[in-house]
Amino acid sequence: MSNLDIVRPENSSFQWVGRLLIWSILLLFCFWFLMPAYVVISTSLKNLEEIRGGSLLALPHELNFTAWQHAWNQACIGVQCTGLQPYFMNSVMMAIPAVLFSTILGALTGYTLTKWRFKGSNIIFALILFGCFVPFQVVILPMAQTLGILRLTNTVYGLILVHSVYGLAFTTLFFRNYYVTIPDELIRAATIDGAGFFTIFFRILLPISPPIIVVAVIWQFTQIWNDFLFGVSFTTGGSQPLMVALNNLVNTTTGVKQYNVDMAAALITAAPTLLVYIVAGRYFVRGLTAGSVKG
Amino acid sequence: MASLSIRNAVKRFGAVEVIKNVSLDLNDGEFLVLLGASGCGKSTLLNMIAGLENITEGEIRIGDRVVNDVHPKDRDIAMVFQSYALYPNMTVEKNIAFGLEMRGIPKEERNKLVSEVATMLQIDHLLDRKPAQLSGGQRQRVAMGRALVRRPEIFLFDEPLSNLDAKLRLEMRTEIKRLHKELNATIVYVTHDQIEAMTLADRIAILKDGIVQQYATPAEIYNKPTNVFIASLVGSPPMNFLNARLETVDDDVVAHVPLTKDPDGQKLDLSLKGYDSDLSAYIGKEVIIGIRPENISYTEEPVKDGHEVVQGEVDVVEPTGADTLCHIKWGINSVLARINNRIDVAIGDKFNCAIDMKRTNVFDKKTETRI
Amino acid sequence: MASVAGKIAVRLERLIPKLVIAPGFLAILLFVYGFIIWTAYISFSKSKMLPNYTLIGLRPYERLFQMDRWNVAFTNLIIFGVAFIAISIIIGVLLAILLDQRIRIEGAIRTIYLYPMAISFVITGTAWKWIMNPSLGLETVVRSWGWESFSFGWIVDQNMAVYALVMAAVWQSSGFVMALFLSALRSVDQDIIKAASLDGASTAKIYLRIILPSMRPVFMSAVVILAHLAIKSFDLVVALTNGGPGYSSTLPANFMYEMTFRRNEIGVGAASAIIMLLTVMAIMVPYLYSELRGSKNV
Repeated sequence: MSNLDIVRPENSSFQWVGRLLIWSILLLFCFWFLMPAYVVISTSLKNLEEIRGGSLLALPHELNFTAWQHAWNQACIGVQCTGLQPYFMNSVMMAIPAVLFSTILGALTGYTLTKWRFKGSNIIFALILFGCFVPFQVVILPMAQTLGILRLTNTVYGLILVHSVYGLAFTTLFFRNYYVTIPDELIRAATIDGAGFFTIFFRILLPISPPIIVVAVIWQFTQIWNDFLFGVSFTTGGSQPLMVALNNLVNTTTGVKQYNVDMAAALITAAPTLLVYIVAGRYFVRGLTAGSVKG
Repeated sequence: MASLSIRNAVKRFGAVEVIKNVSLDLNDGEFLVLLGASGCGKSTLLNMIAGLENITEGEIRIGDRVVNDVHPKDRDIAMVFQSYALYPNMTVEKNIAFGLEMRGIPKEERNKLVSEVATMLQIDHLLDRKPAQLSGGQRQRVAMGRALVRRPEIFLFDEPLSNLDAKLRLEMRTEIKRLHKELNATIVYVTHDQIEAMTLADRIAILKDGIVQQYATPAEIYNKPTNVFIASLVGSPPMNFLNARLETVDDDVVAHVPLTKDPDGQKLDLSLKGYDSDLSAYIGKEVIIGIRPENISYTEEPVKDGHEVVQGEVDVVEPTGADTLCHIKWGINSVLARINNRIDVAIGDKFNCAIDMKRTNVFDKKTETRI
Repeated sequence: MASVAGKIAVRLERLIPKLVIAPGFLAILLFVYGFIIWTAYISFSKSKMLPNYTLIGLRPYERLFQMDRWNVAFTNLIIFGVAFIAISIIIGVLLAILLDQRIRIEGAIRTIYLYPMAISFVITGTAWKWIMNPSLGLETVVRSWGWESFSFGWIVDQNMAVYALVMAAVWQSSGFVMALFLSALRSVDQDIIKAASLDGASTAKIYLRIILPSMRPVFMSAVVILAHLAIKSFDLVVALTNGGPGYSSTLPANFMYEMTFRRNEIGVGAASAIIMLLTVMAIMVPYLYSELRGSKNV
């Protein structure tokens, strides 16, 4: 309702108090949302004495990145003291192909389900859509068995497969909802012009799809990067993705508890998705609301 | 260019019959308008001609060829859509050339054909633009260009003017009419706008519930509508309908139009002498008399040849500029007359109306078909 | 002849769409529906450490409901779910309405409110675990300010650990609820608001009496999405409390993982997964049904 500028009696003190109240609540919540980030960053820059001696909210005395370096290539994860580096690579190797596969397949499926409807295509869509809502606990046990049969347990390929399949439900929903808004007449015109299924897709629909491709890619990347359940269920040791490694690093209890390293590790793990959010926040929000509101 | 022939075409979606046994013939170079309200099946019929919908039963021929199982791209047709359906990612030039490209026509020839069409439609300065940068009228022209460039056997238009504002609509209507004459094209044109239908068509097919109600020239449809539905659909303002009973008076057929609620009360006598068909079977029966507003005129004489003169009272006056629309009361009946704007009328005036009886229609009350 | 060739071409073109969705659809059919059936089967079997396909009827479910650990987990889910959904929606709606009052730096504030959605629950859990650390965290800070009796040892308190989860989950998700409602507020028909203000309604009245009631579908969506998140919650618990102290803050998702992969109780684990699925369906099916039916009426 903000674009409506209703005339009100000017400068009543009541109104002034109202504005003050609004701003204080908004800023209080800003503080609440930012506090953990501040604590994590400042702790990661402190040394252990500073942490034990000083206050949680105190600024670090100096910019000390040793903890970051330690988290990246020295910290112990279980018994391996390699830092997060190899696990970061695991996550990259897993996320990129899985995002690509699920997006491409989702685009084609969404296109088919909107523009080439056939008997039963609505049921197919409903069945795919339901895949968005299944709690993954109900599939992990058979999946673990299947990956074992396929000899994909403990490999990046296994996780790529898992994320591609379970991401497909969401990407299909995104593309389906986007293509529904594109008039069918466009497809008819192209059919009469002589274009077939793939020509229409590649020459006409794909060129107007970048907005939804960005949404799907960001959504999928965030989901896959942030996944913990699949990672912890289907991999162990050196083939684990970053999110599992972070949890192990934090919970490794050998030696002195290095809170600064834990926090640095958390920051490194959060960095890629946060970066995406800062660069393309608009599309990120659109994915959240599109993926959830309209079925 | 080619002729079009539709034989007993039926279209069913599941159990619902959308097109019920439609047969139409169109000669080479003729302009056919499919007219009807939304949901009457006119767009479905057009899509069946285009090949965008299957034909459940019957046969469609373009020229000498049965096209029931021919893919749309091989039917040699072009279509202009209501939303124009321009490819948003392509320039105007590419939009127009796309169909040629799909048919493997070499680039040089494509360019030549595109520029010819662009000149004809006066859009040559827009060729590098994207559809989003065009106005509604310009998009409409591009959509027509895309159809024209292919020089198809038949052009199909699906309500192409309904997204334009009133002024542009008139302009484009004229343009389409001119193109039809210049290209001598066979055209099938779908619309719900009866004025478009009347102005453009060589022949009009009026559809209702998937059935062709009348298939005739615009003049015939206007003057001799086959039923009450058509009579009220075509013409603006619409035809007046009066309930009447036919009687014989001095060997002449006369329609008695009651002026009061009492069936034995005062009546208006309208002589139907010289009506174009035989009314004798309807003597003593209820009928509907249809009179177009322009066939009721103002007169100062008490009697006028070939006319019936009736006195009425002016109820509402609506000046439209060229004419004045007068709502007139004849007892319990209310009729609309379209009279010359030079005649000064005011509410409450007593008014002598002359009804042109030669242009009057009589419909069967039960079946609502024209007698 | 030509017509026959035409017929074949038309048939072929009708086949392409089906061929294109086949791989993805079959994958979902197998990996979602096939696996659900598989898990359901195991939930009736005597599987322990390895899957065993001898059926023993409802015994795994009986065992499941006799386990205190499961009952704690399910009770926790209800407490966690209700508190998490209610608080997230209250905060989300409040922030959306406040941000809708022509705030100059709205974009920046929105970015701050929403960034937790971009990071994973594992990271959220790690961060809040540190903040709630009883000896070095917020508790010490507040005590050092002079509030000596302040206690914030939620994650080590059996009775409070679930609320620690609620706190972190609300922190992560309320910005999302805000975004959901803000976009809905922005699409409210301006004419209705004009009409209401001409009728003399105050801003507060317009929100309470007209705008919020018109947003019932958005409330529905928010509840469904948050409930879905709550039922699936696994990583937050692992990272923040690891289900402790003891198993006092465990949730069904953690129970399922624990039974299946750690305790050689595959049958019971599968049974708990099926109960989770049924819980999700009890919420989703009526919602999807009304959504789909609603869209058909348009």
